[in-house]
Amino acid sequence: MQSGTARTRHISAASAARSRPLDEIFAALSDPIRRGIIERLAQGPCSVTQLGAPYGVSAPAISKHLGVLERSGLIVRWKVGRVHYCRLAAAPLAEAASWIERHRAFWSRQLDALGDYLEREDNRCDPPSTADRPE
Amino acid sequence: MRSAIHGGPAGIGPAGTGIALQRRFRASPHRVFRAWTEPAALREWWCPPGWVAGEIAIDLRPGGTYRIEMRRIGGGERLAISGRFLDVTPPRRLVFTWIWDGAFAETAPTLVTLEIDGSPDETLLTLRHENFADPGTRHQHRTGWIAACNRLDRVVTPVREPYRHLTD
Repeated sequence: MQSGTARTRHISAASAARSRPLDEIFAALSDPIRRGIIERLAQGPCSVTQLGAPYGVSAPAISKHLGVLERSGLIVRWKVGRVHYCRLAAAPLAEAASWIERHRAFWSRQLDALGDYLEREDNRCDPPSTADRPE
Repeated sequence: MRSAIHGGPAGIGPAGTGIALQRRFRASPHRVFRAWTEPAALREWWCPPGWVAGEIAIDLRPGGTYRIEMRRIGGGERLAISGRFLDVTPPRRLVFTWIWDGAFAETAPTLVTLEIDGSPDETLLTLRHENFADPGTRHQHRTGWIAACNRLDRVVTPVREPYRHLTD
């Protein structure tokens, strides 16, 4: 446990994932620096100072990016003494990845079905030029 | 298909804020466009196995709405997709908002763009499904987060359940 004076800021990742609209998550992921931060945090929790180091931007700028990520529910920030830390909240990321995966699979199937339909129509309208194809 | 995701000369625009698929069909652009916009044609191909189209209403004009219902054969389950046409340019382009009703209810409408290009014999269809249906929002987020999400797939487990009943 942390000492009583260490201020902690926590949100429930599960409840955040429920209530955050997906587009807020995608919006948060739309910036290359924020994506870099997410990728770094995918390796494990990290101090804010370490997180900002690779980007050569000011601490307030990094803090702004972290604010966006935190509001989207993608990360959780807390403070121990004077050091700020961050970690990934997996649920919203899984939600975003799930959207992509589901829709890619869905549309891929739909386009297969459309292709089959167009070929069926072809066989119906045109004299068959090759051996019978299965219906 | 995946090779088409990140754009390039194949005609995927700079938006890149969602998934993109490309497919070639041995049919004219007109036939492909009709397959997407005529209820009788949609009935023939839209529903996955085990499902049948219910009511299909299409008001094909900019600002017009559409709704496609699907019913599970032998079951009470229903799904619907609805939205509004933003651009209707036969046979080249169709843009519409997209809302899942029922099982996959989403928080905000998303946007589907079909670009149809080709000759009388062959058509290249580019389909984009973007997460921001609102043009203002989309403009602000016109960067490729999808690449990051692809990498992130490695660290998160995509949840596939929501579609299970469409595939079995």
